[in-house]
Amino acid sequence: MRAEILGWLLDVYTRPSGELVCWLLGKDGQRWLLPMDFPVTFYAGGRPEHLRQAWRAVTDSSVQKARAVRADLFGREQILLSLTAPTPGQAGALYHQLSTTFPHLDYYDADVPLGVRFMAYTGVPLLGYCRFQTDGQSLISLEPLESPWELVPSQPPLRVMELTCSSDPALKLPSTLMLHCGTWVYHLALQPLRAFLANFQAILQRYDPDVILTDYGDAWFFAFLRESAPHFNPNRDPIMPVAFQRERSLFAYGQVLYRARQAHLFGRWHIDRCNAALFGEIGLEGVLELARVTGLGVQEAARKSPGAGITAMQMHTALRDRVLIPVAKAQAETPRTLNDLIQHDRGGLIYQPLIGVHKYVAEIDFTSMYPYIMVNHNISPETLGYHDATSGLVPRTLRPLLEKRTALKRFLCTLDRRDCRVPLLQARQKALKWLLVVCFGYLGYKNARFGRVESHEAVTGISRELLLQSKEVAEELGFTVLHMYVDSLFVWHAKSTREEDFTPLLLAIERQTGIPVTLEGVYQWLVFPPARRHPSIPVPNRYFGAFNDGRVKVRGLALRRHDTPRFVAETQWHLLSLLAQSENPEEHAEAARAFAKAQLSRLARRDVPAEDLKVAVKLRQRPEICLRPGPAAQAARQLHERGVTIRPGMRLFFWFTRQGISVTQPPPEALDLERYARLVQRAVDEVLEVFKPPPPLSLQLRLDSFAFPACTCPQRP
Amino acid sequence: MMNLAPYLDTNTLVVLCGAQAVTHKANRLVAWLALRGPLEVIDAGNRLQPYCLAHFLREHTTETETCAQHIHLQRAFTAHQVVAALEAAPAFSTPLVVLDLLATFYDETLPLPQARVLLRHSLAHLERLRQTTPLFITVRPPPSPARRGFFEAVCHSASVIFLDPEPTPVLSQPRLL
Repeated sequence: MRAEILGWLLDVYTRPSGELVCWLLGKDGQRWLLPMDFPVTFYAGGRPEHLRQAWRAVTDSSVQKARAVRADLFGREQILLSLTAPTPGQAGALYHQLSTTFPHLDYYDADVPLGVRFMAYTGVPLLGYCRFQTDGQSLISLEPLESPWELVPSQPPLRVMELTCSSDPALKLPSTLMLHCGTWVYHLALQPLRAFLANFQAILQRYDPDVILTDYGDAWFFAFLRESAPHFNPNRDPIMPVAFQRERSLFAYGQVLYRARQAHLFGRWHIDRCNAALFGEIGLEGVLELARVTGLGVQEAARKSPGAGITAMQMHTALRDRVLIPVAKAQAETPRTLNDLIQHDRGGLIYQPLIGVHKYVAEIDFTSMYPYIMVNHNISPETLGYHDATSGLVPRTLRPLLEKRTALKRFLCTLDRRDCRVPLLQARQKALKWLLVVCFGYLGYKNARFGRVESHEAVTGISRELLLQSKEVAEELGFTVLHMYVDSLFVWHAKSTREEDFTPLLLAIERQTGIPVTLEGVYQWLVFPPARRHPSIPVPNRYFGAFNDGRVKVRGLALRRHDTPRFVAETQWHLLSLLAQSENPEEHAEAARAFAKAQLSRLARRDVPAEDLKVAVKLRQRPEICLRPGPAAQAARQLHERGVTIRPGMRLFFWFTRQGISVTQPPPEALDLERYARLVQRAVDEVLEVFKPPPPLSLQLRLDSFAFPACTCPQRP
Repeated sequence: MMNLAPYLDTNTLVVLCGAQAVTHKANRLVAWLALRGPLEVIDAGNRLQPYCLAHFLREHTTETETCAQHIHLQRAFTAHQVVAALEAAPAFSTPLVVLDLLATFYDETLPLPQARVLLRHSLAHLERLRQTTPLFITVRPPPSPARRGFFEAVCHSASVIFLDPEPTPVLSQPRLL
């Protein structure tokens, strides 16, 4: 019997048979797993004789072969071999087979994520409200009722289970698991194993969660389940086993990252909070927003970098606008002279700040400066060098994203901070912010499908120009620019102390640049400290200050570093809080020094919990190749000796001891207190050095008093 | 300054192999060629150091700007881009320097069969170019033995190879405790 149902599309995936399955949640709360006919087309390009060979090599009669003419990003039409497989699984296998046999062919639209392809084909975004028809066996039709760009999208009523364990499994096998299911909390002992499995299965069946949030679920729990109970299936789809993806270390965003093994479920989602880079900041609400706008599945969106999200969005735009998506980008940089390279290959503008304590300084930030430049100036690989080009693929992708985030931020400004909607809207806004942050970098990223390094340079070039224009506007209005940093300005005026005093400047900058600016706040006082190596050298990315509303902002100090022990960070934070108590921080500098001294005394008395002295460092390379092993490599070696598997990019915890370092908590007398005291003193100096009275001036004398002694050389005869 | 005049003939492919020192040498080579006249550079491993290069040029001429204009540079960040750059390189008599030719081919995210095909195409283009163009290539030894063949293939196609001797491992005294 055919039924028409309103509900949400939660996920799409392929079964081992290759068919596509949609997981839907009806408005009445019923969960549906329905297969759907979903043919997939991809293309191969190359020399005609090679295409003919590939045509002959495809012998599967279910695959439709055709000659196609399609345009790439630059509008160049190409003659292609079009291959349409009846299911996504078959298309994937066919692409794999062809790319192995014919590696010299160029492939297009072949590795698009399934969710993205589905969204482009049906118009229904993941998490999107829709109307669907089913005969109970398969999905007959699907109709979108909501766009991914809705400001307040409807929320599917998801059931969330949280699973936490009693210890870090890498160091010690947990003894109990804690399960939060709505208002219920279960404590399950892992031993005896049979009882644990029976209880866990019963809870899973009874509560039937849509989302399982875990700690160490990727690295440990689901692998442990597979080993201890191979027949137990935590998926809602009984056909599917848990899909494991191997662990890996990678170099991205200028640092070595570690991604633990991943465990993906089908028919429900699993998110490991310890293995999802952004989860701590954006939470489940932010992850759902990412999935909604990018088309990546929720489990992928939680674990992958925002760069994968922006690529998925670009792919969606390309599929929608019938632009070919190359598997590998082959377009090289345009040749230029060395002078051109030196002139254009630069980053954002960074000013040298004026060292010292400044009163009533306003921090003005451009909202999403680089994305706005890309949209307003139509910067995309294919539009570079054309003045009257139609909107490029990158601006077309970014525009709705930018508009949605701006609208969310404006809506947030209208809400009271205590409004219960604020945290959820903030999470969604931050998720979108991350996509916008990486979209610029992806223009110059070597593996970006639609990137080009010249467009990357164009964005930074325009940003430098706009920042200089903003400086000129500020100076014309009588403001002094104390500092500029890529997309923010710090300005001062003797008569401007309140936020409204800076409104004319904000409007003038917006008018001049065409990019919205926001006032981050007006600092009661702001400090640009000098460099450690010399008191007259400024540091561009180090400052701290207190806003008029009491907030304290810090950049570049020890407490912002991940490897600073909690005791040191808290000491520094307390010093800043003391200074922030009045308009004149100098008044509290003495009290701050006294507090610092008291903290050092506490340390000397061993009155600090060892947990607060723990240091966290990221391992950058394999410890065995370190010629002079630093603390991280030493910690890695100690853990390795204890049987723990160590990979680059992992965050390791240890204590400084008199013998070196220790990965286990040492007794208080073994701690290297001198080293910790040095860290505290350094953190104190970072804050208080600028408040020290200047050294007494050296003795000044008149130049004419600098007389040479009378010549005593004997006169020549 | 090295004497490379004998290698500025057509049909000569000069390969400079080494780990670290080759980058310095390659930058000096580009500077030396820029002093003589126009040249094409394909930087396949982000090895060109513009400020060092400008420094080298200043050591030998006051017309740094003019010499810098002689250098026509193209950067390639993937093996596909290397092939595209070589394919587009004109077969003129101006010298062509390819810096760190194999860097992108050593990228482990590039499947080995595909890397082989792309290298074959690159070598074919180099063969075409050497008929008319003095060619200089720098290569680094592979970080993993699986792609050692690439290094050997490039060396095999060379007319002259300059090898930087690999550093001998420093003997260290065993620890007493």
